[in-house]
Amino acid sequence: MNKKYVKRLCVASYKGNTLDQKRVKKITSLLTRKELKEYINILKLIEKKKTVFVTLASKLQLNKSTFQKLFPNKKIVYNYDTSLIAGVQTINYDIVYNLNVKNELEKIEASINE
Amino acid sequence: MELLKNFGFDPILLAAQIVNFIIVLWVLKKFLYKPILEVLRKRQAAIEEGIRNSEQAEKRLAETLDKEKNILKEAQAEAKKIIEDAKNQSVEILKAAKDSAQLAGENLIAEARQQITQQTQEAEKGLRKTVSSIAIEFLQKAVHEIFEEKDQQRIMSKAIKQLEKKPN
Repeated sequence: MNKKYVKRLCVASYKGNTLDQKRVKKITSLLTRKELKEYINILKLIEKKKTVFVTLASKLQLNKSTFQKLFPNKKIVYNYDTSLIAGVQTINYDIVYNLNVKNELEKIEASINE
Repeated sequence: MELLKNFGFDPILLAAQIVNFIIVLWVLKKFLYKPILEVLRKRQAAIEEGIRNSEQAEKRLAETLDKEKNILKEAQAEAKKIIEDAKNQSVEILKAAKDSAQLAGENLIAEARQQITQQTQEAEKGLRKTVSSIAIEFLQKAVHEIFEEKDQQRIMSKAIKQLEKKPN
């Protein structure tokens, strides 16, 4: 079984937007050790692609509906980090947006050090 | 004839004496004069050869002395030349050593200057970095106090507007 088929199995393990436990159990029982490793890695990647990590400076800034509109069909995980001071940081798989005061201050520091 | 007899002249005796004389002469010539003359001749020849040899030897000695003089002269000239060359070389070597020492000294100074400049720049860079990080840290701590809820909301709205513009 090559990587392409394992990928298809990973996609097939989802029911809608979530993993179906029964399907996962059935598939994993049929795979070899190497294929299982591959399967887990691809699943992790899919989960990563489906999830957006939003880090806020404080709970007062939380606006779930706004972020849901910005990232439709994606699971949003909210974190809080006061060191951001104000603003937000979003990580959407490999796209990172740092729209916060901490990032601006770091940019100022970097330009001074140049 | 009577005159000759009065003088005691006897012809037969004379004839016999003449013959005797001739015989003696012949015998002397054969057995004495020839060998003696031979010896004398040989002696003369030897003496002449000796004189010739000594003349030749004198000539050779003179030639050798001349040669010796010339060789000495040449050797002296060469020695003088060698000494001159050595002197010139030593002067050149001294000059080269002086030049290279001067160059090495200049290079050392230039290197030291460069190092000082580099170290100064690095120190400045480090100081700038430290000062900026302290300033930013201070600012980060201070800004927490400055920003109120309204300010935070305003910043948040701006951030969301920017997110809406960016591709996801």
